[in-house]
Amino acid sequence: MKVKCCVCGAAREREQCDIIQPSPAQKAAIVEMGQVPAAEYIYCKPCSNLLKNKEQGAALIRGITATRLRMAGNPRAEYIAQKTYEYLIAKATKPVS
Amino acid sequence: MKRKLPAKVEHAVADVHARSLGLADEFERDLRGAVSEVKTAIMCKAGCAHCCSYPLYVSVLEAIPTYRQLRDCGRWTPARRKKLQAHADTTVALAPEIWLLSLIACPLLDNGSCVAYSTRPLTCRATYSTGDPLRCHPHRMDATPSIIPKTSILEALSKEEIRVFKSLDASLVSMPLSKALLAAEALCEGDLEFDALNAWVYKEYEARR
Repeated sequence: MKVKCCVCGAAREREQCDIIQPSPAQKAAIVEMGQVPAAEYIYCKPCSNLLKNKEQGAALIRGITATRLRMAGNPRAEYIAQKTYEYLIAKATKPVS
Repeated sequence: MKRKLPAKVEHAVADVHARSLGLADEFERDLRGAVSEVKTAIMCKAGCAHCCSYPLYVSVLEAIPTYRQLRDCGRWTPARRKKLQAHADTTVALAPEIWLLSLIACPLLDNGSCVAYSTRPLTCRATYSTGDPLRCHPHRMDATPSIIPKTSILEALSKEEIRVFKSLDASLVSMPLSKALLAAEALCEGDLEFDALNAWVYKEYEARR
C-alpha cells in the first residue's frame, strides 16, 4: 500500500517507510504546541535518514523554519531559524546524565 | 597505466563534454550581451557559494571528465571519496525540495571554492545571478529569483545525452553529482562495465527508497 511521507510528500510503499506512533507523552507535547497529533507519522527512507542525522535533521528544520517564517512576513526569519538550529544541535549533543 | 574505457564510451564522453562546453560558451555570450543591453550586472563573485547547495543531477558521461581531472591532479583522495559517499547516501532518492532546505553543500566545495572548477558540469557553468547574491541562498528562493533561467541549454544537453546514450544501447540516467562521480570512478577504474551501469544505479535507488 502506498502512503505519503509527512516530510516530502512522496508516495512510497508503507513497508519501506519508517512509521512512528507517538507515545501518550509525545501526544501531550504536540497538543501543548497547539497541534492535533496524528495516529502515526510516516517518513520515507531518504527523509528518515536525513532526520536521523543530528546535523542534517537540524539543518532541514532550520530551512523549513526560515522559509515559513519569511513567507509569513517575519523579518527575523533567518535569525530565529538559526537559533532553532543551534538549540537542536546543543540538545542533540548534550551528554546523557 | 590509466585504463581506457571502450572506444564508443570514450567517444560518447567526448561528445557530451564538447556539447556541454559549447552550450556554456553560447549561454555566457548571450547573457553578457543581454546584460549590457538592459544595463544590469552579473553579481557572481569568487567565494560566493549559495548556489553550491542547490540539488544537482548529472549523467555519468558528464561526470567522467570531472572525475578524471580530480584523479589526475591528486584531488581524488580517500577523504574526498568518503565525503562523496556520505553525500550520495544522503541525496540519492531525496526530494530536491528537502535537499534545498537542508543546505546540503556540494562535496566538491572546499572553503567556498570548487575543487573541480575547470571541469564543473553545465548546470554549474551556466548559473549566474543578476541580483543581490543573498537572494540566491536556498532559504530565500521564494523571493524574487535572481538566478538567470537556463532551462533551454539544459534541455539541449539532455537531448544530446539521450542521443549518445541511445547509441550505446543505454538510457540516460541522471543522479546526484556525488553518485555520478562514484559511478565514473567505478567505470574508469574497471570496477563496473558500462552495460551494467543502469542496473547498478537502479539497485542503489531501490535500496534507498
